[in-house]
Amino acid sequence: MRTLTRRDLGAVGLAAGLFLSPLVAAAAAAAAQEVPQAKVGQPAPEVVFTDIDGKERRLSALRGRPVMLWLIATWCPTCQASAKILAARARELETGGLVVVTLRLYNNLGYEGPEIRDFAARWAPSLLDRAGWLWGDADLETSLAYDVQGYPDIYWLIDANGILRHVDTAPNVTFDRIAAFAAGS
Amino acid sequence: MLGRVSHVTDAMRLVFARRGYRLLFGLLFAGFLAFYAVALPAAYTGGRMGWISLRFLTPTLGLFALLLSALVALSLTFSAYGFRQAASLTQGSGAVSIVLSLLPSLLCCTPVVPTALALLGASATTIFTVGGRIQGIFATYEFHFLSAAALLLLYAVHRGARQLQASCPIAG
Repeated sequence: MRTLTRRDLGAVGLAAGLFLSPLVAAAAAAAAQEVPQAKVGQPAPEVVFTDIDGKERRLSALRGRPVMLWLIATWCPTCQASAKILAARARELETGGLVVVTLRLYNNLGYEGPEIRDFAARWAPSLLDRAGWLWGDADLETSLAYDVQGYPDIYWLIDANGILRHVDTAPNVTFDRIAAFAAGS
Repeated sequence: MLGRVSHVTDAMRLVFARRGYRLLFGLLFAGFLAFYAVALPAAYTGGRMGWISLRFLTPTLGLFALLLSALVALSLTFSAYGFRQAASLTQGSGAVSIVLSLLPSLLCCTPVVPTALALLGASATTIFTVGGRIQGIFATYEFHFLSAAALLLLYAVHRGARQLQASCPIAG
């Protein structure tokens, strides 16, 4: 077996550097920030985002209504399958007045994928301009606050008082839990 | 190409002439089919496996489940036959292909990558960016990984057939 030469090691190092450099920069920028972590039973950290119509929105403005805050990466197959299920069963969630806020994770979690509007148009077109369904992009602070482990799909259920009540993944699999929360609240 | 196919068909004729090996193949095929049917859709269920997986078994994943389980079962049946005939068959590529076929399901959209990075002591922000990139690659190239696994298994079956042919008398 051929032994590794300095040239081989240099090539590996260069490839690793090219792969990691933008990530390291993002990590350094993020590390500089103190981010409050979302925890079940605690008030939901504030989220400010721009929706797909260019309007600035605040999570706190939705106080008084139950909210599902869903953070996704648009390349994630679970998110795509979940968007289809949510679109098909939207009425079940709307009866309890649930507002669903779907945000693309900061930098799409480090991997390229469709914009949030294109994601919604492809996988849940009926929800794109529907009342009670908001789509937008999460900034780094929001992404770290609600998804510090880096799941490509995570949702939080927030009650009408702004308290985080439940966290889970894969709405397509856990839909009944979401529907029960919407109905109960 | 035809020669390669004939190696395999000759080996199948030899091995499946015995009822016990037909039964073994059937059991292995059924077992791996059930396994792949619940494992392959895991990328669509946030990593959950079970009956729920079957709801997300697309036609493409179903075909891969059939193909991969048939090839794994055939490869293992050849190995069992070779073992009984004291002809040791190399199984490295078969094992690699099984792992390869499961990578997209296990590493995309499940807690595996974030948890592994956390165990390695990565910072939250590194988990956030590097973990996403790894998962994104597996999500995007799922079909390619499954195809590569199927090709590796085909190679394993072909090699197993050649080794059987070399060590056992195959009736024409």
